[in-house]
Amino acid sequence: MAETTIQSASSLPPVLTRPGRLANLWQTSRRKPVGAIAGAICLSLIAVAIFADGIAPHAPDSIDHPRLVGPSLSHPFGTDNLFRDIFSRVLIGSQISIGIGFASVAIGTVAGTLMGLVAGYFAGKVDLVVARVMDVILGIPPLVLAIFFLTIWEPSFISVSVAIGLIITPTTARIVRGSVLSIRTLQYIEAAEAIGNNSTRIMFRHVLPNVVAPIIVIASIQIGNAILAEAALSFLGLGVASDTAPSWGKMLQDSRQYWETHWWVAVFPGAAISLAVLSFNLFGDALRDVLDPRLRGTA
Amino acid sequence: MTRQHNYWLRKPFSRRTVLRGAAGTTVGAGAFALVGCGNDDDDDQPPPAPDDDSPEATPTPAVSGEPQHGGELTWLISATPPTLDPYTQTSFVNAYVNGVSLSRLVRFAAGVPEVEPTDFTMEPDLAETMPETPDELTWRFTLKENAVFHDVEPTNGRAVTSEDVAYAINRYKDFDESVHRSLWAFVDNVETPDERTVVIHTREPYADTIQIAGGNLASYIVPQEHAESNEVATRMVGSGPFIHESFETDNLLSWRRNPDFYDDPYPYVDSTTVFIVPDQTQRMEQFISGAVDLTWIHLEEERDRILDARPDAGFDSQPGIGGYIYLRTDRPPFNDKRVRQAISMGIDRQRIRDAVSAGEGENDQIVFVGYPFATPVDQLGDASRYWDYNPEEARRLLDAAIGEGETISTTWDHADAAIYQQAYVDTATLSMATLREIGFDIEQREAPYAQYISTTYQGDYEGMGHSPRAVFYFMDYLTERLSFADGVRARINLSYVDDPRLEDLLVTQRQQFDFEERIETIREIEQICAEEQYEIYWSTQSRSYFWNPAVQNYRPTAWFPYTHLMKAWKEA
Repeated sequence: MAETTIQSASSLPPVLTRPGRLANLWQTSRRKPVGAIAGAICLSLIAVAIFADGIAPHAPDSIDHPRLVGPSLSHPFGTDNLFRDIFSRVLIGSQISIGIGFASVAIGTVAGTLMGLVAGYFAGKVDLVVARVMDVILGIPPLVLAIFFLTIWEPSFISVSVAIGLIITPTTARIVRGSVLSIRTLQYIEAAEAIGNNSTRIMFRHVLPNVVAPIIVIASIQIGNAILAEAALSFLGLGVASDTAPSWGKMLQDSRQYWETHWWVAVFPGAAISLAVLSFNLFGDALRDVLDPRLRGTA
Repeated sequence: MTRQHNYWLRKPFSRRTVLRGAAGTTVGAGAFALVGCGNDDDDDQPPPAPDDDSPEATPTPAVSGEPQHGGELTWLISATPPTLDPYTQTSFVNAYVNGVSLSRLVRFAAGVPEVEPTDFTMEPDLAETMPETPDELTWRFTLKENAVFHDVEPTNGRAVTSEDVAYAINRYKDFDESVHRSLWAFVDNVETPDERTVVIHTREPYADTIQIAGGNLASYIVPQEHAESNEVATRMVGSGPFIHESFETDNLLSWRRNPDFYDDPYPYVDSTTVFIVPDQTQRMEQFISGAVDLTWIHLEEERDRILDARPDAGFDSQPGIGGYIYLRTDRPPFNDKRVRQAISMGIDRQRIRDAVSAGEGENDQIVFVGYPFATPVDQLGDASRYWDYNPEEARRLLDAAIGEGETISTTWDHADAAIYQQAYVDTATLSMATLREIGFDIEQREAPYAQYISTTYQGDYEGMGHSPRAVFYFMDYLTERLSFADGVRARINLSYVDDPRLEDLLVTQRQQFDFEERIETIREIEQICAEEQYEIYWSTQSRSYFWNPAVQNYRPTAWFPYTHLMKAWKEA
């Protein structure tokens, strides 16, 4: 008769358990402090954009302030040449700058992903055509392409987002295509084909989930670029900003003649653009390091 | 401006006195200017009264030494002309460059030290002398014997004939694509009894005939063989002091001296180039650095910076008209004068002046208040209250017009800041901010200049718009702004004004050769416009001009054509 022995739990060898999500996040943050700070700033900027109307101490078009006064307690970022509170306008301006940043990246990512999926999965002539189209788009200076687009379609939130999305699309498409090309030769794809799945199902059920990581990474980096592009377009007078809905780029443009004599009219909107672009870029870099198995664990 | 040099301050004139005065090129007549930029319009006027708060304004129109030939004059404009064809364009940038290459029957005498910049006295150009006027309906011009077109294709130096002048006037008057038809509508026909005689017969006595013949727009003689060619949009061929050489969009236009120019010894310089620099700050910096000889229309803050940076530069400053709001008075809600009055009272003009013109300037009305004969706003009687910022009263007027607590949703179209400067946009922005507070929901629609000038400025807009005000070198300019005679909207009647009281007065004033009588009529027009607020005016602004001290015999003019460059020389 077999002898049954009962051991106390404490005498068992330790079991390796996965850390919880929060613990994982903490560990990642400790490993990537710059990325973590950047991510926190990104989240803060998004929150500011969402709640700007409530946070801003004044309406963006309120002219009940002194003109061109420097930063003070009552006007932390000073006031502009049209008697407006720059702090309030920077807060409200985040709605257009970040809003268009996200919208354009969403458009560019969806379009680029579809292009990349189709090109990579079908390869051959389809790949050739899609790749060449993307090459042509990449061959045109991005801002020129957006300006060309906006001279045809009147600037609006959607048209500006589409214009910027258009210049994001090729980069996303190339990355997705590359990933798909390597995945489509794997056995599980062959197995999926063997049991009769159609191409659409295979692309979206079996291929896409495996290229999500690079898509997330490139999208997070592209947000910074999109914010910069929106600011450039606004600066050139092709944005959608108005007196009641300013954007950071338009604020810079409107105050150009006062830059030399009243530094704050340029510094704060400019700093907002820099902060947003830098944060999203650094966050994207950190995300890439975390999600890319080859880079995981690197400093 | 001294009394001696002020046409409008002197004692009343008869028509013949006016003509004699105009005929003498030394007459210091003058005065009535409103350069507007966009006739689109832009402006300048008599020099401001000294102000303790102003920088030392020491106009320096001196001449030293003997005239010297040679060298190049460089200057700046803010935009590429939409086309160089004077028959089909109303843009002020056209007027700048057309006057360098193209001749007129008569031209402004201003542009030299001895003539006030805002003096709109004319002197003979293609005409040998000022015209003979055997009766009030006939104006006889004799062309200069040595007047020839440029020695380039397609004219190849042929003589300028009376047929060329008749062709030009008829083309301005009748050509389908002419934007100046209403300006020349007073002409019945043009006779050419011989090659050098042009006789203009008018439909009615028209007191501003000479001003139209030599004005900023619709006065240039372009020969038929060039006017009807495809090149007219990009090349100027005429008989003016400089021969057009190149036109590079968004970059420059250049000219060389016309050796066959009929007014010897002009021009003094061998060549002239205008650089197209849309950015006002860049224009200022280019002058400060010495890269160009002339710069123009700088507002108060820039004026002070240039004065600091280039104390050696020639400098002249004059008050100029600001912009105005136009609105569709032919349809609701702006067909109700209470709404228009509310808009005027809902604008804080002092605050706008503080923001865009260093607090300088004063309330303006339809006849620029810088003119000595204009009625100051505070003397417009009961209507002067519409210039006071009074949001409560404005709201009360709106309540009465559209219902208590109701709001007005409308559009406001305007050009971007590239051409008219940021102050132009800022003025609208500040106005909209205070109008929102009294119940206007305004959609601001900004367009590139070329689009604006060819759509909104032609009357193609929905609710409201704004523009700088046009050059006002002839009193009948009021007809251009206010007439809707026979159901035809006048060229820049952008507010669609259609008021029989005004039509009668407009006809009366343009037939009045006696200055004092005419001014009485003008005052009635001012009063109606003040009460009706057909157009809503902001404030005067000062305009400053600077030039390289090596440039002699030069003075800026309030007028657009740069014809006067021919009289300037550069010291070696």
